[in-house]
Amino acid sequence: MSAGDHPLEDLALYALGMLDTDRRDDIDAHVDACSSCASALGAHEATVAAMVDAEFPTPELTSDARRRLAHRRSAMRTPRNIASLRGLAVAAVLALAVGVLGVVDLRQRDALRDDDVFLSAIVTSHFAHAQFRAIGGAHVDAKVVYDRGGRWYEVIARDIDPSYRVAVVTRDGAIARERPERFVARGRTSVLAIETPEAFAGFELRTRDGDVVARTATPSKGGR
Amino acid sequence: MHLARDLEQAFVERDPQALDTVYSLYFALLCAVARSTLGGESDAEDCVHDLMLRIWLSKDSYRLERGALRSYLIVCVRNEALARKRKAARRHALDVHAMRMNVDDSADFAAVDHVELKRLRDALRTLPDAQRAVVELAYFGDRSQSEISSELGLPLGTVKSRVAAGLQKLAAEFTGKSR
Ligand SMILES: [Zn+2]
Repeated sequence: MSAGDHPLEDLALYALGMLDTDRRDDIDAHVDACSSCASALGAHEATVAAMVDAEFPTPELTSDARRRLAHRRSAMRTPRNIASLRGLAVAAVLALAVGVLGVVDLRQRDALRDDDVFLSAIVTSHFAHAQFRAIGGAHVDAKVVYDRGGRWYEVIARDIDPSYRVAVVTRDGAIARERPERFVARGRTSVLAIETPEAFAGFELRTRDGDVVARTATPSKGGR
Repeated sequence: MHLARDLEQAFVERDPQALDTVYSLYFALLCAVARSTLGGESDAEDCVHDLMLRIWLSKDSYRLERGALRSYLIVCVRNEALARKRKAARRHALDVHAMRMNVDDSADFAAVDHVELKRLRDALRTLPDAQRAVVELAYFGDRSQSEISSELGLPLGTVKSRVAAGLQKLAAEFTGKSR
């Protein structure tokens, strides 16, 4: 490979932020496949980072005072309490899976905006979701978001009969037990949140008469 | 140094703890970087969050050959902020005259350390004039290569080669006097 194949000058422009998005994508693709350009770009990035450091003396691994500042600021935005992440998890999963329900117009959309979109990354590593599949001729547009640790789940549905119940398919012997909780409608969207459920392997939606209208693919990827 | 390397390894392996740590350590810094380009506090935070999310969800974003994760993130955030700013500028047909030298406008953030800023200025001063002009315009003026080209009346190729040479020289300057 000749030197001309490596976009050496553009690597410097990349690091300084002078390239447009298209060209940056080209460089990303090249750097992905080319170790020498990856390290050359890394060197330029280190120089730009040194310039930034000189301009903004900010948190460093080595500086306790600066570190505390970083912690304080991130603490404001990072809920420590898992329970407080539930709404966000729901929003995040929805946002990442837009099109499944086709709606993000829940209260969660505000949570997503006000809180960290970033958190959905953390969230999706701790939480999972599963789609309900209709049984027979029923039309069901619903999914469930749940904590991999089994501490809560929330069923979200669109245009659902609010009298439907959620039944839990347990891990031991796949016995379904109906939950007494009711869906709460918010416009076309209904949600049903369970804070401390029994261990589950899947979920069913049932009519008031106990007929199963939909169930999740079992077992959903719970626990890890 | 060891700690940083461990963190980078964990980040590559997408250990959720690594994301937490990266966030704790670098969020304030990255926001300052974004804010210096974008201005508004919430715009800056949005920019950092969106970028972190994209990096985290993308398989090929950061790799160890790239060097320090911290530098990588700084440059990514800068690039993202600059792209947003340019997009907004295009949208509103604003001209891009304002030099973003006003680093003090983030009052709640650490006060600018003038010793450090002087260090940057000193380093820049070691560059030949021709190189310094383009590097300063790129860094402080947030200019794209074509903006610099038309501003200085230089062909694009010349801008590129001066930037590359200037950054190379700065690297020697900074690593020679590293803290
Ligand atoms: Zn290459």
